[in-house]
Amino acid sequence: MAALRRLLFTNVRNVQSVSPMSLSIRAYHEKVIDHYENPRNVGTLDKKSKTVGTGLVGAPACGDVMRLQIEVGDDGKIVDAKFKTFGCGSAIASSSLATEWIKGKSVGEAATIKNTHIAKELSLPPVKLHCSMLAEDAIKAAIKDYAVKQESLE
Amino acid sequence: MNVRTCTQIFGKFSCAPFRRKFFTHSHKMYLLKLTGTQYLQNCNFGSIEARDFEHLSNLTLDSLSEYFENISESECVPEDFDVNLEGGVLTIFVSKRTGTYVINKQAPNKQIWLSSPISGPKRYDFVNNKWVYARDGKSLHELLEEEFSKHLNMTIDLSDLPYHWNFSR
Repeated sequence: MAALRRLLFTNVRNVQSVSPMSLSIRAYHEKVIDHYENPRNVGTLDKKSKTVGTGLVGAPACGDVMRLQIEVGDDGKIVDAKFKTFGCGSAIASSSLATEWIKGKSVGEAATIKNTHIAKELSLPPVKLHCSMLAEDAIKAAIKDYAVKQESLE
Repeated sequence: MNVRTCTQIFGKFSCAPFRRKFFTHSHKMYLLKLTGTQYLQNCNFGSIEARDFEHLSNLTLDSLSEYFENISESECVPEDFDVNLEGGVLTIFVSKRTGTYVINKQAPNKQIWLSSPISGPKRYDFVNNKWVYARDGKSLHELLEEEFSKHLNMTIDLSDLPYHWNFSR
């Protein structure tokens, strides 16, 4: 990965002219590479626990699958979040960033995270905006699962 | 990527219904109940066959590409406005300030995917002879008309194009 990054950035520095369509260098943004090489919160939580919500979105045929889990404390705040993602670097980075952001937030606040925020933070190119949307869907799916569990307790 | 690999990544869950429906290419939208209360929202295979999807999506992208290539000659259009259709991906660069639209075929789930610099990503299913975004019911052509009319400060009328929301042929 480090060798690939060196290769990518070497190519970008050597380009003489820049025009929107003629320059088709595709380099991952540094933040995406950071999340890819140092993903935050990879792992699993106990899906049977009543305080854990699990969101599983995407499908292999589409190229991306994300599982995002949240553990919610008694005060309604997300105390822990874990993810596992199958997909491209942008998908991994989007879900890693999502888990970083939702930790410490209340369930209500986490539901307000939009794909546009994620895409802006990671400087995702147009074709990768779908990854950020999937991350937003994963957060919402996890919250919904937690809500369903809580309702069944009442 | 197959179901077995997916299982290895995510641990064991009930794959039987997923495997059966996925590999028989069911045309129904469905939710699979996995262990516990997880739901895997699968791709919407829509109501069209794979070969029909190829034809429909190619026609849609070709016609959009032709339309935007024609208007790129207009004076209202920014200088570096550029349209490129290659490999099932239509890329429209509006301007540095506005950004780039990417419209592509997504064959596995028979959708057309749009990435708009204004409204973000959307996925369109072929419903009632047009491409519709399930979450808001709006059609692809409707959105493109709205947004491009604002970008280019001219009336964008895609109603003659196949599978426009008003398409009745």
